[in-house]
Amino acid sequence: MKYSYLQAVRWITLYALFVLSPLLMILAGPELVSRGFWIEFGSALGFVGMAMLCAQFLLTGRFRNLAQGFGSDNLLHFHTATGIAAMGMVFVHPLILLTVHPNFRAYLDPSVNLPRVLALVPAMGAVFLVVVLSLGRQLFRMGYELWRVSHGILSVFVVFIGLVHLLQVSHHSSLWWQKGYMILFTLVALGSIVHVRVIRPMRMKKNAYSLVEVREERDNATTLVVEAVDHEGMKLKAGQYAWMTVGDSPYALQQNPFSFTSSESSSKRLEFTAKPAGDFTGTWREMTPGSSVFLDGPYGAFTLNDKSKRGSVFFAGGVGITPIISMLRSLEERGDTRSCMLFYGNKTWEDILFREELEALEQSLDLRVIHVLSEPEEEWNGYSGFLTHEILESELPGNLADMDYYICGPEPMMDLVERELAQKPIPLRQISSERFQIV
Amino acid sequence: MFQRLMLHHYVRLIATLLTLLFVMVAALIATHL
Repeated sequence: MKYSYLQAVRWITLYALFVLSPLLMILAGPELVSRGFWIEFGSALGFVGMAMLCAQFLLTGRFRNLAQGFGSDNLLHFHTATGIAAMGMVFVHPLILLTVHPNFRAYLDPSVNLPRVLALVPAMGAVFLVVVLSLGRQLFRMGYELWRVSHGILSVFVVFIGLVHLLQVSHHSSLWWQKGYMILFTLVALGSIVHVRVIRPMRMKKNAYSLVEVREERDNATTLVVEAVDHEGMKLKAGQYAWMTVGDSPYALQQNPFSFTSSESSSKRLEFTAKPAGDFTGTWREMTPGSSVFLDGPYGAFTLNDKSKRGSVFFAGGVGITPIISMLRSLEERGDTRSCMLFYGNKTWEDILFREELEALEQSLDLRVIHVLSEPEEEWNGYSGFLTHEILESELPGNLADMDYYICGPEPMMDLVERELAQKPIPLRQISSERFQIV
Repeated sequence: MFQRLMLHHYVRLIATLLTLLFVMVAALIATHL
């Protein structure tokens, strides 16, 4: 599903209206005696901060209509940026109020209302933690699973305390319908997390998969092959991904996103490949066939442009090959005869994931693979180092505008390729990319 | 057709502009309260 600019603008407008709606609600309420600009401004920022926090629950990439148009990766980067801004609002709100009027210090005075202080101060701390842990998860060496759980719990706690605070202060939400609106507003946010973490797992339980094969791959990677248990499986498009939970229950805390590596024709038998990069992927090689697997998907807009009659140029770095191998396998199954090219960056010749299969695909497709090795063996006579402007200049085909471009790999590689391609006479809509490193 | 390439470069800008808009609307409404 592709979006028009108009639809993109509509989504952004909808977001702005969602965030500003509590302020409009205040305006629609009874006229109160003004407490002066700064106090009213500080209060208004509190409402905006609360609204932005609630909107965060809807910007998680799990709602397909939204995620498909912008790309899940972009949406999650937006989620990060607006999360920081919301934290700013939540901190500036009391700062202004405490500065302009000493009466507001009562909100932080335990001798006035101890439970209130015990709710507001930890809530502020929780907002700070949510942001800091998300930005610095890897720096703090925090496991993805623990981060994900803490992110959910802290966020729900913050929004709940925010709502209680707002109802308790009650200055701009004194009428029943104003209180009702703010409760409903918060319920939409909390409902979305219930939807993602309770209702979807219920569906996943009904449509479970079974692990049928654990295959060792090059570069210490592992492929998990799963099969649908008594259902039709998942109709995916090559390049998409799913959230995976392995174990007895789909409600388990562990749930991670992985690209499908299998082709799009196979909906009952799905494959995922990953390198050990965390608590979960570190256990893949020890997994035993027969385990239950629960999948939520397919997600992602990084897919082959089916309407196009052009050839394809792929750029992959390391494990970024996973969505692209799914695309190549799908093209092979379709008997595609168009010209394809793959620039593939790895450390060494031995590290090249799917190396033998790519050699076979070079025979069955009109595919040329250009390997770039950053730490090549002595006898290597191909490109060394990283993908550069010079390599692209000498290897890219002459008919640049007659190709579609797909990029997936580490950030520096993607930045370089996107920048290089954007400077060439290639319509931008022919270039797709996916940044898998989100948190 | 809306395309996503380079969008990530503008995500922060869009978020910043929206945040500024929210602050301005909050200020505007504060003057009317």
